[in-house]
Amino acid sequence: MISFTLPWVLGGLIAVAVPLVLHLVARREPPLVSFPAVRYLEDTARRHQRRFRLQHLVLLLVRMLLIAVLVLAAAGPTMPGGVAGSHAPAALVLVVDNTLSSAAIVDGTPVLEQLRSPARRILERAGAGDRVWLLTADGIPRSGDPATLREQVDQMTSLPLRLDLGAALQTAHSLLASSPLAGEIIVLSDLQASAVSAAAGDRTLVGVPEGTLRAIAASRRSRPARSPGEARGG
Amino acid sequence: MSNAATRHRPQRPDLLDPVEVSRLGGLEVVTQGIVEGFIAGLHRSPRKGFSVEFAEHRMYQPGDELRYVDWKLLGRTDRLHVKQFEEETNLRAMLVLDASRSMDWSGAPGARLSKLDYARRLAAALALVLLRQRDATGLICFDETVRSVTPPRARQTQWRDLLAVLGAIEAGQGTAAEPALRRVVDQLRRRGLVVFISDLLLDQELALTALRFLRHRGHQVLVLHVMDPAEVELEGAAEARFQDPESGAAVTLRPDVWSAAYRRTVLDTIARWRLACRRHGIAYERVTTDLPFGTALRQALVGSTHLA
Repeated sequence: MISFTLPWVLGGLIAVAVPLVLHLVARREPPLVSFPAVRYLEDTARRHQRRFRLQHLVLLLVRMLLIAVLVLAAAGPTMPGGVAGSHAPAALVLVVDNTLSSAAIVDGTPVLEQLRSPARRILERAGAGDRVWLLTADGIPRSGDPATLREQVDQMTSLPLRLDLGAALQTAHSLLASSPLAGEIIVLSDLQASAVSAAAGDRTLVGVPEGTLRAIAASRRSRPARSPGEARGG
Repeated sequence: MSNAATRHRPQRPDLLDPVEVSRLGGLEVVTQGIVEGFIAGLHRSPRKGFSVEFAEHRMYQPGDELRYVDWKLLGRTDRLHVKQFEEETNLRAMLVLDASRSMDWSGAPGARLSKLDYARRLAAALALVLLRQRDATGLICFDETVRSVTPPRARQTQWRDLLAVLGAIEAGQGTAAEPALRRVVDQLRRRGLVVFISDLLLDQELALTALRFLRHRGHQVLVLHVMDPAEVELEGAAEARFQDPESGAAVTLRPDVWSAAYRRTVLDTIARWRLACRRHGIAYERVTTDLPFGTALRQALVGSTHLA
């Protein structure tokens, strides 16, 4: 099933009707030209009418299709599970911040769940040719095929640990450096001040090449964090 | 010197652009210029005249082709004589000019003559060439009816009479060639030459029937198909509604899309006319209105020499 990054752009598909409307409604009266050899034009039209009508129809359809393709491309289609050849093999380190703060419930949903669903989507897009590592709050990088890692994400719980984002990124960077594939680090975190300040203070972050790091933040808590016991109990 | 030579432009009116020539003066002056130039050109031309059957000698007169001078007779008599040919002495020619509305059209007004203006000058030049050879020449102009009939005569004032008719003729509405071609029979009692000058935007079957009838009566028939270059190559890019000024029929299309197919239709039509004419021993020549008159005249002469 194809999903779209910017589904609202699909509204632009209405524009597909523009060539059709122009063709049917907005036709202006062409200028009149005196031409004595109209009989030759009539003969030509008689002989080639079918071919030209077909060409005209094909041209109209191609125009409509072109607009549709442009709109669909602009909406950012994604193919869950990946399609062979959908992207070049890549190395990916998925950093999931499952520290204690992820046990909090924000707007009726646990923060951990908010981090888990993008992690699942990312792993679904990963193919057999990709090299993937999962790095959680315990700081141990787990390597494996996307399906196994997806199971680990499903079973992941909040850990009573502090994630040092700086150290995690450094680890991720070293993992990527060990692979010849083009690499990417994706950080899924609620960006707690403790984790961020640790990352900001870590000079080793400078070594992460530009464009390699992508961060997806979960909703921040709007009320004071409850204890893990409270969260589990609620 | 070489620059001056390369800058030199042909001064012979028969080789100039038709529009340029028509600006040199009235029909008479222009046509005379064209024919003078054309005849001067013929001396160097390998083309033959209208006929090949020797009949008699006559005294040389300025304008006669030097290749017809009998040099042996000059050696014996010290006088210049030219050989005359059977058809030259007997030829009676009728020019049949289409003056319908479709002929009164130019694809580039100002830059090209209308088909009628071109045909008018071509007919006048042809008449002068024929009359110079002392061939009796007449003229029939027609549109939807026969507009004027000038019987064929070889007298000196004939060309002026023909010029008066050609100068006064105005484009009519429709085209009905058959009655005009049948009127030729009344005018040419003996075998003669019929030159049919038209854009051939008419009923092909009817016209061919009448032309065949003339051939059947023993006349030589030459069809001069006058076309504007814009009728051969469809010009323009934007969609337009093309309307026939004669019938009012109209077709809406984009010239840039249809030009190749249109060109094929025109070439097919020309090929059909050429084939139908050849099948019945009728000469067919196509002239476009951007051709110098000398070239068109030469085509007419070549066409007539191929006649049976």
